[in-house]
Amino acid sequence: MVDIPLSGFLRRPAEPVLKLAPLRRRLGAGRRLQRGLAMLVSVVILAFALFGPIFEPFDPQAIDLSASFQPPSAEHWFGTDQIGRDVLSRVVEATRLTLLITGCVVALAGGLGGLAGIGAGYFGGALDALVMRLADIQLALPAIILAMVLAGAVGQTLPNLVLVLTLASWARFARVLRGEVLSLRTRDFILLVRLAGASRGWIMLRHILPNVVGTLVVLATIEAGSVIVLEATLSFLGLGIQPPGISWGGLIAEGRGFLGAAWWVCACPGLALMLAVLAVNLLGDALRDRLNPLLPSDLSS
Amino acid sequence: MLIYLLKRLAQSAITVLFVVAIIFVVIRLIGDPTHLLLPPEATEADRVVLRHQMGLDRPVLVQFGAYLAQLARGDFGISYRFSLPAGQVALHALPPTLMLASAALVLALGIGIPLGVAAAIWPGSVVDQFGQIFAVLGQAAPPFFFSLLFVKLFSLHWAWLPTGGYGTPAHLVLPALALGWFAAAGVARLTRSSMTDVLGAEFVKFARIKGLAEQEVILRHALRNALLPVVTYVTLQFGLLIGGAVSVEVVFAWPGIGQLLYDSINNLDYTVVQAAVTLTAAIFVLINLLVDVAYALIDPRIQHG
Amino acid sequence: MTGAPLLEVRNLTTSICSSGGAVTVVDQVSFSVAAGRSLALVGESGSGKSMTCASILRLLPPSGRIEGGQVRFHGQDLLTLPEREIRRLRGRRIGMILQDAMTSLNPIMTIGDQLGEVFRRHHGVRDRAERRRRAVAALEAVEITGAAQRLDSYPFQLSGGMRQRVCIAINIACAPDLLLCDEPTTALDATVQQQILGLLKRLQRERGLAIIFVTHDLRLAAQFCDEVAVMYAGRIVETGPIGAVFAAPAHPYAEGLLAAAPELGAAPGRLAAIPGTPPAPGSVPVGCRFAPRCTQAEAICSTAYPDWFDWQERSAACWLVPKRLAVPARVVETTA
Repeated sequence: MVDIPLSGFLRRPAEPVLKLAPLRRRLGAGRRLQRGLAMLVSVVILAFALFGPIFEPFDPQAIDLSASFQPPSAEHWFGTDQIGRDVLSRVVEATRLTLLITGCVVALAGGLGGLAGIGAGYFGGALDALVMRLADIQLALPAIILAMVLAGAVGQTLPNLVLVLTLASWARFARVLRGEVLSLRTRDFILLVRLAGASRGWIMLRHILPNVVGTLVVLATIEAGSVIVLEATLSFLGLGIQPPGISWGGLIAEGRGFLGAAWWVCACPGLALMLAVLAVNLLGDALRDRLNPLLPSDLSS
Repeated sequence: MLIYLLKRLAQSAITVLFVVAIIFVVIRLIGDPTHLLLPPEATEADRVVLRHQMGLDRPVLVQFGAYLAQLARGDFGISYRFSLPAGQVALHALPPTLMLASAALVLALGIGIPLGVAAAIWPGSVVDQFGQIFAVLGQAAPPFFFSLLFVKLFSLHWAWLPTGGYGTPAHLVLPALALGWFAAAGVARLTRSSMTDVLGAEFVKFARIKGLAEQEVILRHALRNALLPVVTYVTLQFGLLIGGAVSVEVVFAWPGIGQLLYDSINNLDYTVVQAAVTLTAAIFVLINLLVDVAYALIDPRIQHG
Repeated sequence: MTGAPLLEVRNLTTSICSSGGAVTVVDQVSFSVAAGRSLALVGESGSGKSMTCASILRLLPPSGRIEGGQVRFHGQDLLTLPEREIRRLRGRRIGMILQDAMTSLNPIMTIGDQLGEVFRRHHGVRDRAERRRRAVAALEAVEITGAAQRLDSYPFQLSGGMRQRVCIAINIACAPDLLLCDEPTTALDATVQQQILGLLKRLQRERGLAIIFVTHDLRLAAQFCDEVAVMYAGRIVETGPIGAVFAAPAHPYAEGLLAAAPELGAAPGRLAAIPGTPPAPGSVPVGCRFAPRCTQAEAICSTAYPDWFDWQERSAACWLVPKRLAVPARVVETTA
């Protein structure tokens, strides 16, 4: 994976590992279409998140009882809900919050979990045992159940929500990165560097970390989808983002009662949710193909 | 082998214990159940008395110790909502969830494996395209969304199936489908990639050299090897299914552990929350253990090597 | 030559589809093998030897396609047979052993089951006990001791040499007429190599088995085979009885190969390598493909592909044959 010239390795770090590998297989037209779609949706989501209010034709909170339960039309692309609020605007607003939360959770879970895993794999011993025990505990429960109990306990503020979701997601990062580091540790090039007397810190910083960054990035993208779904489920169950905060899960929950007559109140946020997760998943696949063909596909570690 | 098993069993028990401990501490943060038990006019003094009676004013560690002693006797405390032993309430809610998860798993295997195999044998065909769309959609949407979708289509629009409840096989169909689609998607994708890998292996070529019929090559040689990683995946899935069951149960009013947990959290019935979580963790951990054992049995290399 | 050849390959052409388009890897290959005789197919890696064998059995990778030619086995053209008929021949009339016996065997099936399969398939043996009996006999035929116990072992429990013996046993179980061996000993230790070769030789004698032995090791070829066909860049460049060819190679490439092989011809103390590398399958030069590396190349060699010259029992595709060998050479065919 990484070649170190025998001379000067103490002065120069290993070659950058975010070098993009040549595409392993020719992408059929179907897959190109998928990737294109994923890119498009991702861009849209990002745009919504960053410049939200521009895309909101109406104020997401504006109530207009005279216009309640309007089906999708030219004026209200996604229709209106039971008190006349424009569903499209609410969906766009929800995008911003979701992205914010997901971003924070993935960064925290990936960062902390990743570090824990790297440390456990590299230093072994008590640290390894501790991290693995903790990971076992987190993984002893389905994430949603853990999240539910924690959310129910600590109260549903935004920071709390981020904390809860992070606690329910970090272990996978830790496990996978630990595995990567373990297999790296025994590779010849690390042995060489150690023979030359490089300190553990140096090895960690210059040789181990650059090699696992790729895995971390891919995993983060893949997990982002799970986090989005987890947050949506929590909000759907009323344990996540509370009104007046708007989230896809919450919107779906609100619309649930009107499924028969005004299905769009429920369906449109749901569609947005699906598209977002779809885009993130496909993006994760694409990144995996490009950056790190060593990561097993479709498997949890 | 036996030693390995015992060691794993001990590890699992400790893990569950830790889970119980953490949940215990967390539950204490939920809120004061005395609000539920006393009429609104009760004074603070009344609450203090009740708390003392329930032992809620002792240090957390002492409470935990007492709780463990209770657990050893199989006593999870009393549910505030039902005035029944919490353990009993939780156990009662278990079979419906297991039934739902199992049905979803059967569906996942029954749909996912054939789909994955077909996609691997005929890459680029209609089956393959369909399989990909199926898989991609299935992994994108959360189970609760599928639940609502199905309710809308099959219950409200075309009144084929009930919108919720429990009792007849008809009630099981929609929840199982909603839950199972997600799992089936993963199974299909994994089977396809695993099968594709195996089909390119030398021993498959050798099987053809032997002159075996294509059917034999695929079923006897390729499939058996291709299913090994699927087995691992499926067991991990079972846990995800139990998790996914939570939202499905809530949508369909299915009286399982998920629904129970949801209600209990909202109603601060914490003995039941504890009981339900402990039970879930124990089952989850047990399943993982069983799966490792099963895997060792299927792959002779692990047994002998 | 003992009568009509058992296997006659004429102008076999096979290509592989890659991202850059179709690439010809087996180009107008022709040779024949008589019953009970062994032919060595030698050449460097990438010369098309393995693909030739795969083409004979029509077991190409998904991206491969046979473009043309004939493969006559017992007079019947295999390339035009329906799939069902070919399947009946595989394992029964024609067998093949691959380089790595470990990956040839199904890791999660017992040896006995993998052997028994061929009896069920080709001889219709339904009785399990009977299959086991025949499997034991097959294992004993390849000199495996304790055969009955071995039946219940898994491939990973056997040594490399034993696994290859099992593969041989599977292939000869139904007494085929022809056995294709694709570098069967390359992955084995030297001593085991000799044992396996000895086994193959004995089986050949006892059963009149014809063998095509693909290898890049000339020493092995000389030791084992009666005839040789030398391949270069997808084409056969020389054929003939192995002793004669190795003693006095006609084609400069064969000459270079032999010079580079330590035991066979080089002056002691020096290994003469052929400078340069073979052309990639997609970019073969006009004219003789070896010309760019040939020390004796003349003008005509780079402009027209050599005719196929035939004398005594040998043949070679080289413009220099008449001049170098000073023998009356008959042109067999002009190549396009």
